Amino acid sequence: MADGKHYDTPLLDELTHGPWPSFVTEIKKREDKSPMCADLLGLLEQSYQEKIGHWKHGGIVGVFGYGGGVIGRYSDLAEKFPGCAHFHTIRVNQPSGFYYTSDALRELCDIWEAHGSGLTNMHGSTGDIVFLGTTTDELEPIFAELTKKGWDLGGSGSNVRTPSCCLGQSRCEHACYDTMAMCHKVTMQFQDELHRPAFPYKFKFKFSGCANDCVASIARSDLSFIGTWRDDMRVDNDKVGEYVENGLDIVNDVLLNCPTKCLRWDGKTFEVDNANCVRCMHCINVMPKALRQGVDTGCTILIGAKAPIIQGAQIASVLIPFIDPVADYDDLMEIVDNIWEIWCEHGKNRERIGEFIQRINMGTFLEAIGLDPIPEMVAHPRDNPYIFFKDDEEEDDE
Amino acid sequence: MADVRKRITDIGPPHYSKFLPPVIAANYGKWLYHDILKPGVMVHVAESGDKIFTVRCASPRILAVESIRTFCDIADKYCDGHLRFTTRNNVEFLFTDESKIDELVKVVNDAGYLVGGIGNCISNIVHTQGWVHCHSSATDASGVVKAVMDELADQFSERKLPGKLRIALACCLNMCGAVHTSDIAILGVHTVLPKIFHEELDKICEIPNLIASCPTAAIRPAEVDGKKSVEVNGDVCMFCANCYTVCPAMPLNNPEHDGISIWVGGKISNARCAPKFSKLAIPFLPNTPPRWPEVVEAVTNIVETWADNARPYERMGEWIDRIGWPQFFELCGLEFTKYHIDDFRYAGLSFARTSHLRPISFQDAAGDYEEDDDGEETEVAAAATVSPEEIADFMYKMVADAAGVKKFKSGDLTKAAIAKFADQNCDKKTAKKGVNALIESKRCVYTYFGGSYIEVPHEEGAAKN
Repeated sequence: MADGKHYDTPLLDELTHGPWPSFVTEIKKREDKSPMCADLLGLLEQSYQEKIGHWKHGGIVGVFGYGGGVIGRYSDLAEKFPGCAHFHTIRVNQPSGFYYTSDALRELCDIWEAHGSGLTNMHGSTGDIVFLGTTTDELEPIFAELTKKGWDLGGSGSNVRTPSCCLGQSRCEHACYDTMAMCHKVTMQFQDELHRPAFPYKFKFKFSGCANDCVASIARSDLSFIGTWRDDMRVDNDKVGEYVENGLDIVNDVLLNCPTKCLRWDGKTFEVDNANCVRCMHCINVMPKALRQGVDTGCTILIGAKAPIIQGAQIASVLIPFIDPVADYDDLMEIVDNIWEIWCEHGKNRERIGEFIQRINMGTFLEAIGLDPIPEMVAHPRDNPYIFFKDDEEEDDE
Repeated sequence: MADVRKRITDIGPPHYSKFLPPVIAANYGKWLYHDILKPGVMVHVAESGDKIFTVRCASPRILAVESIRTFCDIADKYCDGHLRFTTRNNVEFLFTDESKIDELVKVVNDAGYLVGGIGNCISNIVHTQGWVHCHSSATDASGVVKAVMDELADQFSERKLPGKLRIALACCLNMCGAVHTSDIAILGVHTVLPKIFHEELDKICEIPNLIASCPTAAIRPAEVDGKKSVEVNGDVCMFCANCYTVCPAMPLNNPEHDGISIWVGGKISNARCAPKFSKLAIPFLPNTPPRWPEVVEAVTNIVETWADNARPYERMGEWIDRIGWPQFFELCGLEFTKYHIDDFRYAGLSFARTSHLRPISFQDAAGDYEEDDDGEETEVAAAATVSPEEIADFMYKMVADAAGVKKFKSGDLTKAAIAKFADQNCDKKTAKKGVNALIESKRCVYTYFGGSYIEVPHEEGAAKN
């Protein structure tokens, strides 16, 4: 490795001051121990001076047999900063809920310090533990040590990306199903799809226990599981009274904020029009001691969320209004199989499932995966009279 | 290469049950309620009466192993070795002894990590890699976040905002993370065409793939100096960098023209209203490392304006829905430009198709009328220079000369007149008067055949020939 040369970093040093924790301080913690980190500081200072990045496109690097989990990264200033000429990222599949013991974290730190920069993201946007910066030679040794200790790589490229979840029933009273168990089960079931890219583009599963959606599943997962309930909300009227006595402005802060105006409070009884409650969670969020979701719980499944690339961003839309993801797990996986089958057959390169559905249209998509169209899937029926009537309607009816 | 037979693969992540604190394992699925005790500290109470306390602190997302070990030491001392991370890169220390709260908060703060981020406050900014690690970034990520949060640190460590505020940063349109549904999104943007390295393009990129990657079909095959390559139609390029993602020979990064846009009012949670996308507030701010003062000022201004005006529990987007976009731009002192009006796939969906407007909008309209009056004066001055009759003569000649060869629309004639009489102050209104004079002179008539044209009068049906 390099000779441990240090660089003056006047611009970066500006970012070591102030109350917010500094990423520069983090990198500097390793400046003396890792020539890779010392050179990273030099390269980053140059970026700050020139206002441009100095990283090239990823190459094809990885561990043997896997097509994902490693993102190749090379600097365009390799001669000047040889320490970070190679600076590959490794994605390590996180445990559900991001829980760790200090022993487990030290184990990961030791492996990473011995074979890479010692810089991490806890965690990347998708949820993986991210090891930032190593060389091609180190990939197999890191993989061997990780798997020996029970860790595996996450997804990258056109495959199932590492599923992630909120902490669900482990610590949250709002969780309507066991998100951590679902996330783990799905991750284990699709190890092959996760490690060996065979799709038109990425496919993300995210599991949130309630409509607060702490893992942002509705905004960024191809298949989003959001907890909900079918029976009545549980209400403790005495506790509602306590909130009011303690100064809660129940009219403005709770009743008027209800999206379907289905709440009443007469000073004694908190009445919920359960048939018109849309399970938005607001009143429960404001009065968690007084209100709870029902006991007949499950989740709503939504499909197709994505960021803008290529055809524009989408928020996920309703596919299945209610399902018990534990009891009906097999049915659910059959639907997932059907979705992948038509998408893999007809999807274009880099076309997410949300864009694919836009292109082939929702009606065709539903037919292909064997689901009936229902009004829950739309904000309103079409207002456009150009209907593609099909000749085969009668045959379908028989 | 390692011996394939000995390799362990496809084992997946460790089962989470190995890492759960005992009180969580014992009360899994049986939690009753939670309470925020003070900024960054909460308690969850189970049906059994068991309690678990949580102290949350911000991480800078990039963490050296030394810092993770520091967190481990703290967890060993106060939490029997148990800790977790949140989806927004915060660290949570989990413990059952209430008497340890104050000491733990102090230890974490002393280690350099602010405690906070729970409830109605700004939680940690989720962000991407930027210049630290990314090839397509239009700005740095960690540095902008550090600069913004240094300014807004009090809003993380105190609970005094109307509702939750979630800020996210993505260093380009790829948006590795859900910035498009944030209360405030800070988004790196490219604004100039990709460079094309014709020498190597065909060697490192698949041209059909590259052409297919463009959402607006702006990329066409081209031969440059005998090399197979592509050209970009600049009129329809929107600088998304999707071409660069599939082809390294087309970089968009540009030190002078890359910058940052600010988006507001997005929301992920379904609480109260449905989730929303963030909408454009500021199209472009310059890249000014190391502390991006323009971005810090813009974000702080929007946060403070919202905090001063929103009702309890009202997220940014809900507040804007109540007061309307015109008032948002007015209160924040932001300029509304043509860039704020969508012009991509679903553009029409964002137009205002109702007369529901607040008084603030009517004041602006009065101003517009006055500007129109000024326009009339200019027109009178122009009319003195070239007469409608002169224009009509010019137009008649144009129509008559082309009769049977080419038909002109009213717009073709006015455009030609404006070009012809450019030095005689002929604007659009003057030219239109020329058209009227032409028709009134009966030398030409309006005809219709799948579109309206101006022609020399002819027998009915003759236009078909």
